[in-house]
Amino acid sequence: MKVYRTIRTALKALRRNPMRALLTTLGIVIGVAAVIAMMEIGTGSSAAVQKSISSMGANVVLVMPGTATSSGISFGSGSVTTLTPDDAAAIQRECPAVKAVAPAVRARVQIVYGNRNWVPSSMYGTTPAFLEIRDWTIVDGDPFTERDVLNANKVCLIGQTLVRELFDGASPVGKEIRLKNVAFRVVGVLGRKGANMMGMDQDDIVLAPWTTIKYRVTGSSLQNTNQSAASATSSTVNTLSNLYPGGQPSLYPQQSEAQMADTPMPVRFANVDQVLVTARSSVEIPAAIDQMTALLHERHHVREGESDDFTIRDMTEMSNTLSSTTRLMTNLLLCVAMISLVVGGVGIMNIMLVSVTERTREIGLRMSVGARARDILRQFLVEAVVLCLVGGAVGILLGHGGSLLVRMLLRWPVQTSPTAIAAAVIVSAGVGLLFGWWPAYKASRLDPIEALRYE
Amino acid sequence: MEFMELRNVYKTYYIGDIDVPVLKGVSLTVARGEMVALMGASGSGKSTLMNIMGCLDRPTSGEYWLEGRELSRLTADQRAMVRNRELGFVFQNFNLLPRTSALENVAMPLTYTSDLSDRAARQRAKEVLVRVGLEDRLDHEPSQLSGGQQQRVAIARALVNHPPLLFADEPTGNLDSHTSVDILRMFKQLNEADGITIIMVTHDAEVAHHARRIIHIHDGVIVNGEQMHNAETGCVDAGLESGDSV
Repeated sequence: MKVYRTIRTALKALRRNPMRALLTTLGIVIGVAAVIAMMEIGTGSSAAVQKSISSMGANVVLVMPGTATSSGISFGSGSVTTLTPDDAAAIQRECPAVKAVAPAVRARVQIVYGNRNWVPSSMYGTTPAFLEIRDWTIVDGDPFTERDVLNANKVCLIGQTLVRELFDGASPVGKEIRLKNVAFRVVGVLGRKGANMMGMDQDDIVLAPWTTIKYRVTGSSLQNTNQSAASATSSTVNTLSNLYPGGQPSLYPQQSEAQMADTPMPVRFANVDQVLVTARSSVEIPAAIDQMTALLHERHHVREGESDDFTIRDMTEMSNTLSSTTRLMTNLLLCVAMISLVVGGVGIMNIMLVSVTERTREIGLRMSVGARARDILRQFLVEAVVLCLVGGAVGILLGHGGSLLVRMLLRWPVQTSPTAIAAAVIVSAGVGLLFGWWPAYKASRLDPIEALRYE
Repeated sequence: MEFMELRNVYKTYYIGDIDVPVLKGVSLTVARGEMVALMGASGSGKSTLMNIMGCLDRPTSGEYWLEGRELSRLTADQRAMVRNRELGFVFQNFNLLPRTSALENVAMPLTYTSDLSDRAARQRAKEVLVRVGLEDRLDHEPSQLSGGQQQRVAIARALVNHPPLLFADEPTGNLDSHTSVDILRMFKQLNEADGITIIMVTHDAEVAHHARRIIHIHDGVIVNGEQMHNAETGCVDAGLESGDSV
């Protein structure tokens, strides 16, 4: 007996009592609809979380300078000045797992435009690669270029918050703003990112070539410009601070004001506050970290057993925490949905048992014309599975419709999940097999003589 | 070799600890092309005998030969195959599938014969329905048919696999006398024109007299193999000597 014939026989048998088939399968319909809706809403919010993480930069790894210690006194993270733009270039060049690298120096200074002023919460001196790493778009104007970085051109990009605060929403492109009395031309406006996961406004930002920020604004090539240390030297254009904190003698002879004005960049190397790195993919983050660690050990002559003069951090822990939270919620809801599937399966079993009793004579007849026990078993099993699959199909449509409704009415992020659909089909067929087996087995064990005589 | 032969068949049912012997040594031969009526009071064992002959049940002991094969030791699946290929059943209460067209009812046994395509199965079912005179009722469901028509659908279903042997269990029990005559005439015609061997279980002497040979069964044994006062008696004698040998 061919399978499609069995399926057709099952469909015919179900069509003989459509109302009952409908009510029977309702449990499965509701269960599958719940599973689909939960999965779609769950994956949707998961994706939303992923998106908010990647708005802080997808796969971003942060390289920070390490801790300086002098006479047993630690100066905190970022207090050594050994991380250089050359390190960034070397990472880009030599680490295959790294996609993009941007060195960054930070500053916190007042910005003046006309009669308005503002202190942005972040001000980065960096390279154009920063935009790629943070996945940031320019909505107005153009980004600054590598050439701007090389020439320390006084150009900058500003975030939406600054546009609002300084320009009242008017286009700032081509206008000049003053950062600590240095005039910068605004060349572009960054796209809106909103608040990050910590609640900080990501649009309150100014980006400029790192050379410009370092040499023209903070003006202290050797000093760690991290935090607001730069403000101490704000009165002079260029100052050499002590290379080593703690009042040790200066490395170079103190220059006079005139000398300093004549030689604005009297440095061998410039340190940066951090290097932003993005890995080629999230799975390559550990590889990228390993490669960078090895490279920086070599470049900084860190020997075996010595402590690193840099730290590398990534955001995987944070993103793991968040996505595991959403996954937990989704799984909980899935469990509830599974329970309703089981309840639906019991409903199927109940009706199939009734059906077997009711159709005892039919079973006897089929046996008397030559149906074997396994033919009967298969017939009733297929009937239960078909019932469940039809219920599953209706449930998929209902669940999908439900999640679309949720998206339309509640504006929740929703994502169609092919895995959920496949799982729903398999699970409903499985429920049919599991709960249809006992009634079908019972039917196949009937004695044809008894069955024919059954009233 | 006889067409069908029962040799000393016993059937005992075990209900709890009590043995209930129903058939107590039945021996019987039926030749090909015979039309036999099996008569007996209720409880006489005629249904049990028919079930054994119809391969629905196995004898407790004894042999059952059909067309040169011994069938009493077959497995359930093998017996199902015999029922499908070689036997046809007509029941008192028709046993048609409700809400299913006549054509599909007739084609139903063919779904258990895997060597036939759907189209061929429908064609075969159609042919048989035409033969029982229901060519204009192919798509009618049982509820739309009269009792006589329903029984004819049931006969068509029994014939769809061209079995050499047909069992009819009180085929006219639910029909009025007029339609009964029609149905019996159809059996007679099938028997004479197509050479199908027919074994008919009945308690109605009127009905039994349409058969050419009547076997009376009483209390689990065959009491006589009475032959009809019919012109063609020659072939019937074969069953006589074994009929009441117990």
